[in-house]
Amino acid sequence: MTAAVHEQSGPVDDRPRRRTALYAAVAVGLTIALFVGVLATRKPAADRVAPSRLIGRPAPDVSGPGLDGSRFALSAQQGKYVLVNFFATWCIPCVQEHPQLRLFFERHQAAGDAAVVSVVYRDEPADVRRFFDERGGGWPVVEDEAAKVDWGVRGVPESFLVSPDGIVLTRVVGGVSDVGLERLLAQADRALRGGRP
Amino acid sequence: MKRWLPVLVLAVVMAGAVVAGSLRGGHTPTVNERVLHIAKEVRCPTCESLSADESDAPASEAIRAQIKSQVEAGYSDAQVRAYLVDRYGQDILLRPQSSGVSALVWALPVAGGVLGLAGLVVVFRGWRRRRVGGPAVSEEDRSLVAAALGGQQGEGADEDEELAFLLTSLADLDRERAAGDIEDADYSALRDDYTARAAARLRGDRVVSPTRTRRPLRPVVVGAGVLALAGVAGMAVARTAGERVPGQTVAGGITETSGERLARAAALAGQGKLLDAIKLYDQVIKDDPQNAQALAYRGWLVRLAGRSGSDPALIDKGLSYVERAIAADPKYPDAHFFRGEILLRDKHDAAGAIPEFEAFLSGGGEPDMASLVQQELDAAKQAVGTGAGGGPPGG
Repeated sequence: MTAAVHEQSGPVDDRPRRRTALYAAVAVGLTIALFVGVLATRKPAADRVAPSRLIGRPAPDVSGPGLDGSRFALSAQQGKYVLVNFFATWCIPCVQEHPQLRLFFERHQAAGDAAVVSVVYRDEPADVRRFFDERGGGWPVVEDEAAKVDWGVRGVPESFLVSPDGIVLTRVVGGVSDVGLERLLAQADRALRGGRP
Repeated sequence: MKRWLPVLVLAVVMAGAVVAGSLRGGHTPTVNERVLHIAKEVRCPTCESLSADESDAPASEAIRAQIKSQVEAGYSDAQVRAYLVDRYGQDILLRPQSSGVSALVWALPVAGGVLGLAGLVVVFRGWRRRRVGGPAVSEEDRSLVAAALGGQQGEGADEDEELAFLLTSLADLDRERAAGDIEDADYSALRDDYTARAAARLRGDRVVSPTRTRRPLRPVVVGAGVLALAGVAGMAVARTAGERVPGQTVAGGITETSGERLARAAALAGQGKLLDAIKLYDQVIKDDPQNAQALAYRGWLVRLAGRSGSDPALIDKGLSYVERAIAADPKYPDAHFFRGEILLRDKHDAAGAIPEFEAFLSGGGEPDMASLVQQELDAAKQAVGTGAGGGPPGG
């Protein structure tokens, strides 16, 4: 049947289309610039501070038997900074960060202002004992199954800096470095002192 | 009433189904069933598109254990989920919660669907009105057009293309009706439409006929309808599309490069998924049997597995892969470190380990590893000096 109707058409003005192309080009350019900017200003992998729901909140407890058989409780460590480090002997970045942790631990052991505790993340006690025998490190090493989820740990190594009054300050995903830890500690110290009269 | 009967029947059936579904009884779930149920709704924190129930990653194991201990302690499913969200964030749940901002994820598709449906109803009603109601045609219009049709296509039809078209269409319409090709309602609507428009042309009125009057809101409604439908369809596709399994790429069909595979294997090894990492290294080696990195790290992971299972055969197998890596690329530093470590810690061959560690240090290995390798070199030299074969076995 002849139900078709004619459409009237006028002369086509292509100016709006040109403007659309210009806007699109500017938008794409800005997006790329933003993307490059974000990537260029990202922190390097070492000591990468990551968000956590725990930051600013009281630290969940870490408690359990240590390698030497004694019982450890994070809640008993108040009065000094504590670096809670989740690790495993099979994890290569954990092996790489170990000497750095040792440097940090040894420097602060004498001063008594900061401590380190390592929480074993799916590992054999014998392997952990051997790991510390070979590589040193005199800090407590604790088995605490619940702590992995209490701290929202996704993989190893992951470390959390806890303030002297037991508040989680920072989460570091990946291996730590001695220099990076000192920087985090200094920042935390400045913030704490700045917050006090 | 007859018109609404199917709708009524459909409504009764749907309401019946909902009531029947909600009244269906069930047994009280056991602890393991509840753990399984909750774990299915929780995302594996270190995997892609896997639930904590499906994954064997250490983080998923820890989550399952924690769910179990909380269920046994008397926590409700909602309390366990709330605890996990509190520790990992909202993204730990595979299904977004139906409260707060997350509720938008559920509400928006429904709102989109309703909006789309409303848009379509408006559009269809407009079409129907146009077809059935047609424009108002006065008697004057009819006589004007009849005169034009009687006067052999009408005065001015030669110059006015649209007028000629409309008059021809009117004549065709009558023929189609006589032949029984068109329904009466359509005939009337089209005839009135053509008549009104032809009369307007004959009067010299160039204004578009009433049926063509633009309604300013129509494009907005149509646009909203289309967008809403597209949104709903997109959500539906996203929800029902097949999930990726470990080892598959985002695009599924695109082949990963060796570099990407190696990076992913390293990440998997870092998460403790040694078997998955070994499989990836095997894929790289299959494509490139001389890939020193894949050979060396595959060997190292096999050696780690051998050590944790106290299986000397696996350690030997690991060493053979590391040696293949050195043969493929004698300058690859990591392979030298791995060989040195196996010789020192597993084979108690400190003298054999020394040149390997030295090769790593002089070969430009990872600066982060240098202090560790130096330590191992010192240990090897000390063992040689004291006459011991090597240090205690290490990881």
